[in-house]
Amino acid sequence: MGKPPPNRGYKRSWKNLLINRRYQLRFTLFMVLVCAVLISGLGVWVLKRVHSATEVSITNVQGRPDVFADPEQEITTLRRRQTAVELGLVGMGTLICVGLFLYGIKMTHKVAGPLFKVTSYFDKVKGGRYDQVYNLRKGDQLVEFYEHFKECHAALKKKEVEDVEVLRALVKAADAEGLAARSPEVAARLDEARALLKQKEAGLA
Amino acid sequence: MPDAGVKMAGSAPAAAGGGGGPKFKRHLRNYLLDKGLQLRYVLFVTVLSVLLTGFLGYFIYYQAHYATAKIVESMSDGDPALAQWVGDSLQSDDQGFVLLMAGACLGLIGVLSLYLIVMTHKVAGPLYKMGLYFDKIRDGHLPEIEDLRRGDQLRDVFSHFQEMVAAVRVRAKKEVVVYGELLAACDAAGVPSAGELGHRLDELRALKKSRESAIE
Repeated sequence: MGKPPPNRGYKRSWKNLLINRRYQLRFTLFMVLVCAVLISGLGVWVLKRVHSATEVSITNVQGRPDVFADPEQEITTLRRRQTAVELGLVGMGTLICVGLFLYGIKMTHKVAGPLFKVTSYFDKVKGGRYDQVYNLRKGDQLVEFYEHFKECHAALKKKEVEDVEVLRALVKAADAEGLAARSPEVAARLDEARALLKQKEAGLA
Repeated sequence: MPDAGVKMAGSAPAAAGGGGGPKFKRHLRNYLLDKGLQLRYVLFVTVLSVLLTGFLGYFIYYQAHYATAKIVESMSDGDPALAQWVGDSLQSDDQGFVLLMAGACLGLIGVLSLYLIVMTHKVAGPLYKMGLYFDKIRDGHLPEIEDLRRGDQLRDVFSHFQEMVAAVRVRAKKEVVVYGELLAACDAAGVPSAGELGHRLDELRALKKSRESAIE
């Protein structure tokens, strides 16, 4: 095994977290939406329940002021606790939704990154270019998938290298033995082989 | 989530692959292509659901329990049995809400886990399929790439892959023609099969054969 291809000095940053918007947003927003709907639904229910418990308790305190040392203080405490619950609910809901969104984007980024990389190599091979395949970044997902792709790319590149070697040796031998002079047809076909060789060499350069 | 790549080998039936295999049907058992990755997601939504419903349950308990205590306290100078009954009744009511919240937690875990498993399957499926094609290409074949199943994700990536393989196939076909025509012209011109040139032409013949078998 030769030296493994290096990682290019690419660093993750929040700016380029959205590589595949459609996939990442679809995946993330659904989770956020489900959570938001659930938090809202359950939140409203919790608030109603808390409000009802608070009001019953306040009515009770107001109806029996003689039992409590400081009824006004008790009512203030009940109201303050109700407000704390309301603020806590809103804060918790916001925090969970924002956190879930960021987590979802970051999580899907680790899948979208390798896919973006693989897609760019697909396009290069489609155009006849067989560049060096760089490693994934630390923390990226789809490691095994990427390794399969690397093997596939290496096999395609090896074929190209073999083609170049065979064609180069053939052209050299043909030139040495004056093959093109044998017939115009041979000369024309040899020129096609030469053009093909040039094309393949450019793809490997 | 380290090393949670989509597993290829042996993690799903071979029928999921492309290239002329039987049609792949979605079955529940096929929904866990990469158990490690998908179970990690389930763990995540479980933690999230517990946090979410735990907070909500706590909020109810925080205020309702306090309110109940105050109601019971207000009855402290009355009939103790009645105060006890009211207190027990209200506390049982509070606990009922907490249990309901636990039910909501389980429901949320179920819905989100199912969604994540289905979504990861829709991603894992195309990756698995591409992985099988990668193996075929690595082994020297250039198969025609079948389309994805309806509902699969990563259509963009897959279409780039299809285009790449199609382009490589077109180039291979062209090479077969170029090599074949050169060999035929050499045969027609009576180029001897011995010597350096003959050896190189034999190599070209082998190359042509290899390309032909690759695109079959």
